[in-house]
Amino acid sequence: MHRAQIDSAASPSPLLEVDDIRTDFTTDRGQLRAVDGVTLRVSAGETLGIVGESGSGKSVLMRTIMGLLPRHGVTVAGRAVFDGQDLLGPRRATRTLWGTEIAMVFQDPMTALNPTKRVGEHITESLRYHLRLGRRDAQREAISLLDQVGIPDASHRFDQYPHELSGGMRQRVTIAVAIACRPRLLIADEPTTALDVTVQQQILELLAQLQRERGMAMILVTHDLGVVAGRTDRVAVMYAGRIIETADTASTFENVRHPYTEGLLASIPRIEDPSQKTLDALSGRPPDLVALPAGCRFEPRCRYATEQCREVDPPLVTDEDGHAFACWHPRRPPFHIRATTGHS
Amino acid sequence: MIRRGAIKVVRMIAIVLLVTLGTTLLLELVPGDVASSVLGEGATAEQYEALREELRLDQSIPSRYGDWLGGAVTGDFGKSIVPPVTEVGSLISARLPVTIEIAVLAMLLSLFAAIPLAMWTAYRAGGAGDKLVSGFAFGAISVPSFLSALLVIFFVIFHPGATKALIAAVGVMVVASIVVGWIKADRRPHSRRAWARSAAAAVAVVVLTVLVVWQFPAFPRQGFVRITEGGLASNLRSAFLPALTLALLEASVYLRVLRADLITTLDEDFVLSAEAKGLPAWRVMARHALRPSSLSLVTVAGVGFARLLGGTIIVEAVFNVRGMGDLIVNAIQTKDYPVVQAGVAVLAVVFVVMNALVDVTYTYLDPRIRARHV
Amino acid sequence: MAGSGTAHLQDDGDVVLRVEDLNVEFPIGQGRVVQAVSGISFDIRRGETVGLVGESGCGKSTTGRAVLQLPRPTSGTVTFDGVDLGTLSDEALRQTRVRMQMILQDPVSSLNPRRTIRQIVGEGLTIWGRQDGRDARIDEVLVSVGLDPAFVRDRRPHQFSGGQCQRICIARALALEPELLVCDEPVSSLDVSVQAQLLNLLRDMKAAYGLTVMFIAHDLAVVKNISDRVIVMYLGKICEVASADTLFETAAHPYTRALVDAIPNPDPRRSVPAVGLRGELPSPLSPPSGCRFRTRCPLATEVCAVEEPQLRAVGDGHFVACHHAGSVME
Repeated sequence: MHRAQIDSAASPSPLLEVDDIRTDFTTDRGQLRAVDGVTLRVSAGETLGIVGESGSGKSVLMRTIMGLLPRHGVTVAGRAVFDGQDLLGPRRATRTLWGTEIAMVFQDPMTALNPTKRVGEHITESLRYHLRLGRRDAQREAISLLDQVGIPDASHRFDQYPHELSGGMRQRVTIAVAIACRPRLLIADEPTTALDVTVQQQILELLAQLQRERGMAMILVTHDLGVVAGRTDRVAVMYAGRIIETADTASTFENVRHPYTEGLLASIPRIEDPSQKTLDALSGRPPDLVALPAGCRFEPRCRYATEQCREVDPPLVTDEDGHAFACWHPRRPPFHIRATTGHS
Repeated sequence: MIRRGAIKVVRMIAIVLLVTLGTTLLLELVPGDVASSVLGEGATAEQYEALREELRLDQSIPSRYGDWLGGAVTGDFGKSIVPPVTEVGSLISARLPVTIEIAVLAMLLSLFAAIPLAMWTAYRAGGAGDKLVSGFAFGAISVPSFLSALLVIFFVIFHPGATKALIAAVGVMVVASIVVGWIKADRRPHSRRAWARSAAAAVAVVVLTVLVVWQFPAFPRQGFVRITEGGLASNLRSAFLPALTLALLEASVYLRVLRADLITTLDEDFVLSAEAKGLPAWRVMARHALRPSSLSLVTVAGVGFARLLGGTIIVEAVFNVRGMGDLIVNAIQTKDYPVVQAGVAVLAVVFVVMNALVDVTYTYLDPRIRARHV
Repeated sequence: MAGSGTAHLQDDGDVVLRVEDLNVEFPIGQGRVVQAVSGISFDIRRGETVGLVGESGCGKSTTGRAVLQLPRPTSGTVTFDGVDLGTLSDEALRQTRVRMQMILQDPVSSLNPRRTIRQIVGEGLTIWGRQDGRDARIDEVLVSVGLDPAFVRDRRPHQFSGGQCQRICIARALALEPELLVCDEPVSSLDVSVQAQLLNLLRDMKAAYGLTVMFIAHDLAVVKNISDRVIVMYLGKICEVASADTLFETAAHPYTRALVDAIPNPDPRRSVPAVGLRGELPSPLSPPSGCRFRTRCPLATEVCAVEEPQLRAVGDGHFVACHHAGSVME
């Protein structure tokens, strides 16, 4: 049903292939399908943005791929392959990929570092475990990594505890931990949501720079369309467990096809709009994943919905430009977001 | 840092002084006259007065406390007043090592059992193994210690065959689970190290089980053998069963406390990050989850250890071990006040020192606490 | 920034809240104090929405609480409707608080999970003895915040989403017909689509109930959308005060400029601006001398280290505390 191929333009054999992933949680109220048939590809060196609001399944999707789901009450179906190796097999078999080939940066740098371990140990641990470096070599490499992620006075910071660092510095540390073993894919799950905007800007810039230098692929998961706009090659928008629209970044923003993406963009207050402008807000809220509507999942909130939408779930289809969307009444291109009055 | 340490020591001394002074006052409130109960019926008034003077009962409470304290700091706790009259100091130095040995052994046994089991049950929370172990721990907490002492005696002394069979069964199960783990894991070259490790673990378990079953020692039903009397081996044998009885309860409490904290910690992002780094589960548990989860364990174990050092009257009675519990309870019954006073002073010091150790351990375990204090 | 001064205070009789030389200090042990708010002054006219914006640690939330005397500030005066709140007794203050309500960032934890929505929204009415027509009043405010009273009344907070809980918090605040509403990051924990709904709702409520609003947030675009005037704060001081439109078109303070530039913009054709601000927020324990922003300011010169800039007018209703404001505006 949701079989439309979301092919990467760049490379014939993608680094990460995710096919028809379904993640079910057993809850008191019944089975809850947090991710429902997601298919995506990430090529070497590419940046994919995954955008969605809470409950869209974006974080569960990443945790499914990373094998970080709770051990009980979860079932996963589908296929996830990294460079020919199955990611959904037994944990012990895939573990050698984590940290070395695929690494992750978490949302909240305040909790992602072990409060009882020194900053340096977080980095040397992977270096020593995965790369079998000796203590001195690992320490030298860790200090160099701290330096590369822009931490001043790295050899001093190496011996400090996480609570002695600011939020931005801690996020730099988690990034240093993630890139320590030169992964080919970095998954950043809301890496800047917990940070102030000026720090967010620094961290996003750092991620982009490291990606360029190291040729890493990156999946940038965020709720903020503004974060993916200038910094990703492609974008996938998730809603209620599914990808409902995906295209290259420029096309996603300029030729919005799905009413949800359109509504999301209209909901964001813009700095260039006049004060007191009434926002064109999406009404309602996402559906209850335990009691999904029969037809399109966005139908209850959609201003273009028809009888067809109520009854039949739209498949994800790809237009001639490679822009995929799941909607019976897609917005017609060219759809131009309003002209911007730049300030910088 | 030095100033903080000094303040702490002054505070500890103050607590000990208050407790011992309080004991003096409370003993005064106990009904009945010491002198007359020591002398028994039919003593003359002169004997009575002489004894009261000898025991300084004719003096005011502050001056009696002052005298006692003056002696205590030089190690002189006076003499017991109930015959046979003995130096209180030598009574305590006879009993305290017995209690300390049993308490230390019980602590080692319970921590040795509780920490790995808590890690395993927390990792598999909700699974069959967790339910079994947690249910057993809950049962052990509910069983009064005289009953668990009798159960220990019943199995270990009267039915050693059953005990050996049980140990062998546990050993077989552990080895079996390691082997099942082998079969399930796919054999990729990367996991050779993990293979070697689990093979070594399996061999170790087999050797240990065989050794224990084959060399199962004969434990004495009662009594305590000092190292100086019977050598280390028979000393340890005599201390083992009382310690095991105490450890059953202690280990169950520690297991529950640590398991609950570990489960909370396992939900933390930094544990997920450690898993995302590709570290094996045991390493994540031991290196990342255990230390931040052990604050409550340290608190409970610190208090528990202090309690054990105060003597455990029921277990001492069942195994006929003459430790601190036995000493203090007898002294209270016979109104042997110098012994009670000295026993309480020792306990106060033990508790105060244990609490200080717990505090120091906190600052070691969590650098954030360190930061707050410095 | 980070300056003091009172040049921006307004003189007309319409000012409903006036804060002068407000200081809030928190003891952190061993005789040391953190100055969370250092000598700031501002005022709010009746019916106006004033936004307080800045990054974490700038003192904006502390300011909001100090206005409500929660706790009472270390020094400075807060005059509400002509009455100096600092001079009121605890009981008189309690009587006044009914006219000032607060909405907090986390709507779910702001609601007692054991109570029904009817009890939550009606509690203030009961306390203040407004029993007549209590249920009708509860229904009325629930309707006005976009909830169906018949559905909502007898349920408990955990049955609602974050956005709905925030609507309930607004209803609870409005039930007492306050004059001043202090909103502390009311939409930052909500999804974008719900955030937009809530911003529109707050605007409607303000018009319907004639509210004066103090809106505290870290998101400049949100603050601009809802506010008439905006105050930018940094490290316990005010950098810039201006009408919302003016501030973002002609930011005069280098910090405001950096904040505006750092906003991620959902327009891929706009080039991502180079990283504006370097370095870290200095410790509030030992703030920099002179201008507190100078350690991160691209324009800082010697005078910034010596002399604290005062708020001065650079346009109509536009005030800035910066020695180099002129060069930013060009």
